[in-house]
Amino acid sequence: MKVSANIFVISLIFLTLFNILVSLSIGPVHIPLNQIVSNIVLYSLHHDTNWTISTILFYIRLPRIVLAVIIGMILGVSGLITQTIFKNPLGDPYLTGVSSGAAVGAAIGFLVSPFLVPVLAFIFAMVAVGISFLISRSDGEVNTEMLILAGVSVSFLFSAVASYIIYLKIYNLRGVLFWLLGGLYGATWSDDFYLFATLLFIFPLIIYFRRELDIMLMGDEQAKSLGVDTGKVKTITLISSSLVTSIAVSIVGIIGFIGLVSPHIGRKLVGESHRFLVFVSPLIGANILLVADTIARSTPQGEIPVGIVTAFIGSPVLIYLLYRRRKM
Amino acid sequence: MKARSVAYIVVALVVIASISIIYVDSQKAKPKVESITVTDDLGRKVVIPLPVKRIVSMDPSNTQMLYGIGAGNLLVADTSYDWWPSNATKLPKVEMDNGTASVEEVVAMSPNLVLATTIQPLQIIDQLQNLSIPVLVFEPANISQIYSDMMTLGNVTAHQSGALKEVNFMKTTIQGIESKISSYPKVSLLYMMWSNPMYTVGPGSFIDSIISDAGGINIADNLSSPYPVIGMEQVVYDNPKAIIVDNGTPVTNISYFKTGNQAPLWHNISAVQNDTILFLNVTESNWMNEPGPLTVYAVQMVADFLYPQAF
Repeated sequence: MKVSANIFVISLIFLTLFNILVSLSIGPVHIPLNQIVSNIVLYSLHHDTNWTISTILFYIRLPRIVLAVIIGMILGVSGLITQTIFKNPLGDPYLTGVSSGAAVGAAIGFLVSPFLVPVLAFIFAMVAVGISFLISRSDGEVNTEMLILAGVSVSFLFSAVASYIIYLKIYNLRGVLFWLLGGLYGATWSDDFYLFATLLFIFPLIIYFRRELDIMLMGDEQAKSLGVDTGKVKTITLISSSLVTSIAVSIVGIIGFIGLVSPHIGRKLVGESHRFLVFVSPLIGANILLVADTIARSTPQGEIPVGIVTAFIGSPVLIYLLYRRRKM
Repeated sequence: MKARSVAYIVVALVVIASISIIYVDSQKAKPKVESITVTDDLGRKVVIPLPVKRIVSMDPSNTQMLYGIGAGNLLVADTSYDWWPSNATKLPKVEMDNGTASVEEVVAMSPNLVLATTIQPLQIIDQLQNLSIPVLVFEPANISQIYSDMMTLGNVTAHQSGALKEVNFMKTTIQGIESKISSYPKVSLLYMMWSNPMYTVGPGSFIDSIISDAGGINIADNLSSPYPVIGMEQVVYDNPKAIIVDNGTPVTNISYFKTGNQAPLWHNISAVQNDTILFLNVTESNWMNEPGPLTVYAVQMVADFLYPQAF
């Protein structure tokens, strides 16, 4: 089991690299493979290249591909944390109110100045998450059951506010509908830099807590008797995952399904143990988002929101997994 | 007791008599209502009783067509988006904050025709039709559809000659523009409706038809949607010679292309290098977005921009 799980992790890394190369060669502009290879070689040797081709490859496609990988990993990690801590297979990193809070911020941002969208989306996401956590605190510890309900209630409230703004001002909000379904358009290397920093924060954290997370799968009482400070683990991991999800959402909008599906696929591949899941779930998230985004930016209708594609890919996978579980 | 029965009989007779008088009267007074059946841009066959005396317009484009054919005096209410001609701004406004018709306010104007675009939900159109208020939906996708819509309006409002005059004027103007630019090579163009994501216009949209009438080649013509989001890599690849930025986008001046955080992607694009970028003001944006008699200004403006040497 250990060996095969290791193999899964390594092959997922290779799959990701392979996917990156394939995505680099696909897009609305057709660039033949030999031109891609020659441009990569020339560019890395600092030789002059065809401006059009190298701009498309290294300043439009590649930053976007890297962004897809990082965001996919962030959502994969956050989804895993949420499902483990809530002990709920429907756990999704947006559960604590991230997405609807961000939607309110984005709607206001698109009205005031579109350049403020990321900042406002992040602030409002954190406000929504903050309210959910405040409601669900009891005895200085986060009550996860309360947190789910608080998250759902806060989400409804913020969704209503966002819908109201969008409904009234739909003519000024051309960008917002796209944003609500997520999109990696306009990805730049600086976006990649910030989000990589975000990933560097959450990834070591979940690796550090992977044993505690395993023990907590057996239930809080059992975990406590084995010396795990469940309150501390829950608070730190949940707040961190909400934080990084908010950062991701503020840059690329609300991309659904990745956080929900990745941990499920991961468990099918390597089992429940977080020792491997902490690597497998984000890598699966990265691959799903990469494929979905490549499709989203290459359709004959122009670019479509990537959230539509992740749902198209994610739902059948999830249904298949449920079907398999039923048969077992 | 007896007196009471007599009273009952008298009352009954009076009631019967008056009902029959009213009935006979109504039969006599009912004139043969003339009506006209026209097909609107949704393909709906609409029966409109004549004469049309009171019209409510639910879109500036409808208002302008009505004034264009000389039937503006029939308009009794319109929207707060109306800006041309100035008379149109003084009429009562009958739309809600989200731009859809307030059915109660429309009915209160007792119109015998309502003009709408596809912005109005079908439920509202049905509701008005059920209240015996005919609704015509006009959604011209190109200039020749503007012509046919104005002719339809002329027939409905008995302003056939006004409509014909306006259509002929528009045709002559457009032909004049086309003859001036026909000797020049066509110019590739990017029309930005929004910057990020980059919404543009594609085949089937009204603005796309203006661009081609003005001698431009829309770089989004290969996308199969009227209002697609175009990828930056296609813009880099197609390298448009001209860019038009619609009003209301976050992009308001050249610095977005020259120094903004996306500038490295734009700096080699010929429209940016040659400063061939047109930022529309509110009026110019209205010309582009509201099909009607003012569309000739839109075509003239784009042609002027693409071929300054021709005019």
